[in-house]
Amino acid sequence: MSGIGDEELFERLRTVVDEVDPMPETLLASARAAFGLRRLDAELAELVRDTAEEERGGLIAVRGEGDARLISFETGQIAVELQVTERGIVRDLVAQISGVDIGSAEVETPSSRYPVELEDSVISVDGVPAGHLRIHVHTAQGRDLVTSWVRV
Amino acid sequence: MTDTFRATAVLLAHATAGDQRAWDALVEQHARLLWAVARSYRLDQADAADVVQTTWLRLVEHLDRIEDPSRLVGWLVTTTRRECLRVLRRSGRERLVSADEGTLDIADEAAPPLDAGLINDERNAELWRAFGQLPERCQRLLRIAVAMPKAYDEVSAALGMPVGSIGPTRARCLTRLRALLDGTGLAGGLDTGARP
Repeated sequence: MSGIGDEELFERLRTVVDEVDPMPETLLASARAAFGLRRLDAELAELVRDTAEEERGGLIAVRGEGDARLISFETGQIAVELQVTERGIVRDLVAQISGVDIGSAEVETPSSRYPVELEDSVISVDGVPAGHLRIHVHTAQGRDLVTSWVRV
Repeated sequence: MTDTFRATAVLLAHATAGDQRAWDALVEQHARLLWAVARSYRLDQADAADVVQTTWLRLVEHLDRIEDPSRLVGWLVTTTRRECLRVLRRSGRERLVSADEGTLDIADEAAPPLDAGLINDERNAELWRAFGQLPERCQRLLRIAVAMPKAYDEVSAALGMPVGSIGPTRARCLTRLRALLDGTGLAGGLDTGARP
């Protein structure tokens, strides 16, 4: 083995990795399909805060089931505060939307849409499957707004 | 600008203009690298696939905001890495990262390794087992390097490694890997010419 050069060893490692842990082909298909979810007509509210990313006092905050995760999005004067509660394989969502009057709203996953209950500036929906989602808001003034995708 | 970056710039421009085929080509160019990044953080297959998909969804959102195509690969790797760390934090698997190891973002060493028994070729199985004994940093670097032998600088910067250090580090990691193989007693089978 001492006789084998770096490049040969490297190539052999590449072969092994490809054999043991190949990229799933389904991943390519979903990545291609992601392009179809582009919303050129909608303003993007960027992810600005996610409590799942935060550490407390240098220690990792380990959350149990039932604890809410808070995710904030912003664009200009508009803010979306999304609260996500885990319930097994589904998620219950409540979002406060400020800085704009909501005409209608829905929660989108890469494969479907979920109607929400709307009360003043708060939208809610229970039982959305775990995975990627974003909130789409059609404002009372006729603008479209989407949040960045998050995985919950 | 290298040819790779020029090609990426053209694809990015076409994708931004709405060309699905250009998007598909961008995906194919980078998908294996992102998979390697996610797996190098020892996420399981389902989490790794979700993390990579998050990165693509993010890129779709930000397509028209990427001004410098040469930074695309760095952007993709950074986004994937950040999402990996988020998953590890959520599952409480990330250990504290000491200041001098700040570039490592150590993942859980107790994550189950892939089964070397899946490999038919005994020499390759031996290599995989030796690889599993390398330090975390070496495993990550080599794992990512085999998925993308070029664009080292952009990738290493995105992983928080000093630019220019990746070549020497790769060489050191390969040396350690070779030493592990030599220590197994099966190294002779790996050595001289007995290739299928």
